[in-house]
Amino acid sequence: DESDFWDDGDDNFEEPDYETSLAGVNGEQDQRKKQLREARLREMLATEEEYVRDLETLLLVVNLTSAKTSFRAIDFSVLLGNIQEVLEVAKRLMETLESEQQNMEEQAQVGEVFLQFASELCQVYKTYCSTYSVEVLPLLKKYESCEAATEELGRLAQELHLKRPHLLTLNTALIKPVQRILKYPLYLSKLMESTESSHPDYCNLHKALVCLEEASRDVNEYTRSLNLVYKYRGDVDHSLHAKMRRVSLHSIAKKSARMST
Amino acid sequence: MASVKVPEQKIILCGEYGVGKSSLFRRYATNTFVTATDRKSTLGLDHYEKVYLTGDKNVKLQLWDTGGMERVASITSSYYKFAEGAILVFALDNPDSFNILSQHLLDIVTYAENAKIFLCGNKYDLKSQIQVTDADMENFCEQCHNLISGIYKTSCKTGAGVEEMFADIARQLCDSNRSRKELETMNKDSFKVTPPEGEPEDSCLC
Repeated sequence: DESDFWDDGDDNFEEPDYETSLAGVNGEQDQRKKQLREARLREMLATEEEYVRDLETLLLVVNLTSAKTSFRAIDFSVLLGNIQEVLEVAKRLMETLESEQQNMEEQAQVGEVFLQFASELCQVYKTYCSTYSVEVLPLLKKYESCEAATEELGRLAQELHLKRPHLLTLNTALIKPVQRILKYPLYLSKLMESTESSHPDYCNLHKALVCLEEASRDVNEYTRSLNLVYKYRGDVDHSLHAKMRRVSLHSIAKKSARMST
Repeated sequence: MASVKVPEQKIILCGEYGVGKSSLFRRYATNTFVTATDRKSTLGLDHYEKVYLTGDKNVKLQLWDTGGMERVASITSSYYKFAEGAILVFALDNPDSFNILSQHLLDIVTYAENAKIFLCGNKYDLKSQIQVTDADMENFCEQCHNLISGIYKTSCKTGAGVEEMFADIARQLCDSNRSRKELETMNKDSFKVTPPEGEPEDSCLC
């Protein structure tokens, strides 16, 4: 079952241990590794496709539903953030990977593709993930105690669920990009494991892995600093909130950096 | 009200990379595949929902898979938000994965302050290699001032203990919801001079 290839803890029994069971049978061992690489690549592509479709569905449902009935209580511009940008880059990544796989087959240069996309992925996801953490989640929390918003979110979730049964709530759809960017390093390292070191893809896979790990750290660090800024702002009395918004983020960032040391 | 709303309970999986969190998630998801038309791979799934009947109440457990989040601290907080339950997972054959749990516990307490916390030792099938004992687990719970609401041993390989764990978690969450609701109702009532007229209480308490 290919879907078991990504298992995080039980690799030893989910994936038969080809190294020991076929020790000495070099040809078969190589063959086995090749198959594993293909299967893992296919899985990475399949999940990317699912992910792109999830985001497309989310945007479609939001557009359709908000055109049909008015959503007064929900602020979609905050909730969706730059998800359109995320979708666009994810789609291009998916298409590039797919054509690479179809044209090059065994010789597919997955690492190179990721290296091409690395800085763009980092930029776009940095914005999305940090906004999700500092703006979207607090807003969703606020909506919990607002009856009109809860009702509207419920309607939206139903629509989502109808089109994509595994999308359970708006939040399970909104968190997808956050989960996706953190998965790339996992996919790349698994792919590298099943790629011969003599394969032309090997070296770039390694570079791409380093790059995407760096990107996760970057996203994380940026989110952390922005959280700090918001925490500082959040402590301020609400009547001052509007005024505080006008103060540049930069000066607050400096202050909060001082406070935290 | 036309239909009885089944409350959703978000459950997160916490623990080190490699202890079997995704396996637990997959077990949870695949075991429910009943009919041929429903049958599909768990490919790309990050969240899965199942309804449990506990006593006379239905409760929906919505399990969230981590997939890579264990390594990036600030982002983890996004994943923890709104969780009603958190399962601390470690591998019974790997003491390091057990010893580090207090850090994960701290994250839960910080970011998912209302979550009920459960402890799960996975890879129970590796009988001869088990290095974390029942006493170790009980000690851990005592050290955490009994923050842990349940201890389970599971094997994702054989499936042993997995369903039992989730069923028990569902029951506990339902119970705690019920008592919270009762408390809320009590508080509300204590301010009322007269009882509401013929207004039936919501039949679903959890």
